[in-house]
Amino acid sequence: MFLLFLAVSCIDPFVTESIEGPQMLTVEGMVTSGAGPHVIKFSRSADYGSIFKALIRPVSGATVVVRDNLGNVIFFTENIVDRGSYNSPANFSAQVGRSYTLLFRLVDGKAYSSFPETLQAVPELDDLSYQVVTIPVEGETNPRSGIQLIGSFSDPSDQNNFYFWRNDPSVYILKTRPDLFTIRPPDADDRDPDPKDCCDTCFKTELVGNESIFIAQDDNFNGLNTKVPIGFVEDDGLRFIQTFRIDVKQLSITQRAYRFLRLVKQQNEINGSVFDPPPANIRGNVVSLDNPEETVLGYFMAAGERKKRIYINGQDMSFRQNVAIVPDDCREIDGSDISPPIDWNP
Amino acid sequence: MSSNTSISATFGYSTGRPVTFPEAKFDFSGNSLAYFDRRNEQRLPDFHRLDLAVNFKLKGEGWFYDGDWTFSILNVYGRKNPFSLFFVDEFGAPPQALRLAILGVPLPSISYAIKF
Repeated sequence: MFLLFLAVSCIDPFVTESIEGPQMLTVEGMVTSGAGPHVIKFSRSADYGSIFKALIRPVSGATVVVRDNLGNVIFFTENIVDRGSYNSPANFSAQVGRSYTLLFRLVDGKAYSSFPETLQAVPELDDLSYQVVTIPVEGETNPRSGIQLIGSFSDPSDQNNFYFWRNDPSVYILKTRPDLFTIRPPDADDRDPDPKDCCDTCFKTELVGNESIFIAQDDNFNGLNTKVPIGFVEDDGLRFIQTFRIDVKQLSITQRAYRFLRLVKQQNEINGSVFDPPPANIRGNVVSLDNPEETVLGYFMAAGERKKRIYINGQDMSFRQNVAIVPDDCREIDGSDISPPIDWNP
Repeated sequence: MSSNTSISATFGYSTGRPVTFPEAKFDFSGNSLAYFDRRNEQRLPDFHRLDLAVNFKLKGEGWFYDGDWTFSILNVYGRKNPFSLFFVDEFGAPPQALRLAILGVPLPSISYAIKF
């Protein structure tokens, strides 16, 4: 009878009364022991409801500094192109063992501060490998697929360690089909092919895979070598035709930051079923100095960083998506360049 | 109406269950997330459902002809009583609340009672 209920149950949109809430400030930023520049972003939250209330707006014009426990102050400057993003100087790297506090003042004069975050050292990633995974899709014969990045490292036994993994921009060899190029109406009257002479091989740079949150705490592997999944990159039919290169950052975060990310990850996995956990309050670590009761969302982190790079040959993968056809000069694609990056060395 | 046939109806009503709605939506690491503050501040819409049933008492020889047949329809007017509400932000749609209704359509049912 329960199965019968499931067959007729339905999920459909529901119009709630408009929940007018204050536009809350959201902070997303990290300073690490790796190379700069480090970025901090500010935005205002939006309401659930009609599409016009749903725009998350960046917060511009703030004065932003990060101060460490020895009194050193680092000024952040706003990115002119990407409003709401504030960059540190490129030569600034945070130091292990120091505590960092984010302080900022908005255009309207309100001042905010984060709680201090202590930067802990992070072990080196001994090995970075990958595994091809396929994800069956309901109603389709062809599954989705991608590579799961697997990192191995030795956890220090004398500390409680919390790990967070993020991807840096990846570069891959992009193959296109300029010989299939066709001028589209209204610029042309017909659909005759108009092949271009060049170019079918470029190097494309993009930042992928950071929507999924990969975190771990060392309860199960304290003091041991361990191998865990630390990232996922989907195969879109273009990335793994030849060579794909990605850098993965292994970050050590504080316990509070780990709790924050764990709740973010949990909320991403909610789908309305009876097995969902009740919603949790995702508390951040930034407070208003004028009004301590004000809720500030998001988190400012200070993390130790180690990077590792991996080159993946498409031919070595056990399963790949069918090659996607891009009927144009590869230089026309965003992020593409005819020359490889300086450090390209598969 | 012969004395072997009867009609019954059941109507249930209860006020909505307290739920927690998110106060706001914010972005983190490329994800849209909901911010929940105090719990149980809102209520789901009221629950009400009408069930109708017709019951035939058969008297006869053999196990098949000596028992009660009931034909009923649950949720006669097809109300989608929400079991839960959840908030999503899917590509191509505005961020919104979706409701899960377990019994969203009128459900016919037949039952037979045997005496032994």
